[in-house]
Amino acid sequence: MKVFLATLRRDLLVAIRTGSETLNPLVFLVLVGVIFALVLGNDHAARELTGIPVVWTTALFANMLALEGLFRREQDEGTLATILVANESALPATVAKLIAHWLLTGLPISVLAPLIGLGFGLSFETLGILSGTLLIGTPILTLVGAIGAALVVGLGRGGVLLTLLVLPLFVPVLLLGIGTCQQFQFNAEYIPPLLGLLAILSGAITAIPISIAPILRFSQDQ
Amino acid sequence: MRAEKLPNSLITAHEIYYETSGRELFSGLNATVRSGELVEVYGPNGSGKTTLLRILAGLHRPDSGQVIRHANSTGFLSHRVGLARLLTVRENIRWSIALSRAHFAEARVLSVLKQFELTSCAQSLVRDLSAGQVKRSALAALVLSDHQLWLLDEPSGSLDAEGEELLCQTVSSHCQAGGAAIVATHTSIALTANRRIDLGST
Repeated sequence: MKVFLATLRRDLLVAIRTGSETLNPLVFLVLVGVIFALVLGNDHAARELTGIPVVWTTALFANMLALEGLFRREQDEGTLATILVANESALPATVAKLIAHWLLTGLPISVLAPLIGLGFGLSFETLGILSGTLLIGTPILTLVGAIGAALVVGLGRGGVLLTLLVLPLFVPVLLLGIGTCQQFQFNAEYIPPLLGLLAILSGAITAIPISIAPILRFSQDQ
Repeated sequence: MRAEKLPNSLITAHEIYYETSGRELFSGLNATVRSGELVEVYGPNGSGKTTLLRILAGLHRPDSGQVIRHANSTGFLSHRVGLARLLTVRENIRWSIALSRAHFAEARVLSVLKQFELTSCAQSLVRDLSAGQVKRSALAALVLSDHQLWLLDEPSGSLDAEGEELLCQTVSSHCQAGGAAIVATHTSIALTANRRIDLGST
């Protein structure tokens, strides 16, 4: 617990001091969301129809923007090697890094996205489920994205490779997230896609955190 | 054949073979480092000192052979010193201590900061320090982390003569206190090593 809390505190402090770099994904989310809402103009039906896919897709890409930095700074500074050499501490330290990443990207995205949804004329109930699905979906994006980020961290600037690796894995999450919201929006059965999303989340939480340190160790060897 | 654990050994390297880009760096390298020992890994640039230390740290896998670490904990200081640039020296030290699960004692932290002449810059961000101060901070963090085995890659780089002397004293004290250190260097520093692995001649 000591290692976990110390690493969580450390990552949050670094993020606060990084400033603009931390805010970039959120600025991206707001800009793209606002531009789409403006482009669609007064066409209420089109805005209502496209609102959820636009917000979810933008949230996904905003999350991806932050992914490459998940382990990059630690790799460049040598702290990643320190974590990996400290065998027993590697798991709590990497878990803390994943949670810090979600707190800095996924959580603010989930909070901001409904505000953007307002610009698309979505009902308050739909905005609620949009935020809920993002709260379930963004931890999956962080966890699955962490696998890609851990794999490419030893390769220098691996941004494009990271996108190619994780984007296909993000698609089911995107489809289930959008599906749940749209089914709810149009009074259809929204529980099955929501359960699908929850199933992926529980699988990801169970399997991914324990595999990150070994993947990071593997990528150091490249 | 598996490497056997010798009494008091903190790390054992058995028949290490490693090649990179078709060039053999080590072949049949055997080494056991016991508690209290200081081993110097010596060799010119490109001889594989960093690679050997990374293999011993578990960050690289040898092409064949095995490394067994018996030490309770291992500290690794490389060219990338392992300090977050956006944290202060104190914050970095606090994190290093937590990571190694060592006990945080304020008086000891202050004493080590003083020993490494870091008292005045303890609250400064690492990015604002000189290269020598950064190296001293990394060494202070290493000392306070209470690792049993130290793997140091060119630890004297960026240090002035006084800092180099401090480094030698610190490493010697660590070994006398029952720890062990493996130090890779390409220059002659005043370390009184028990053994030397010369990679220039392999």
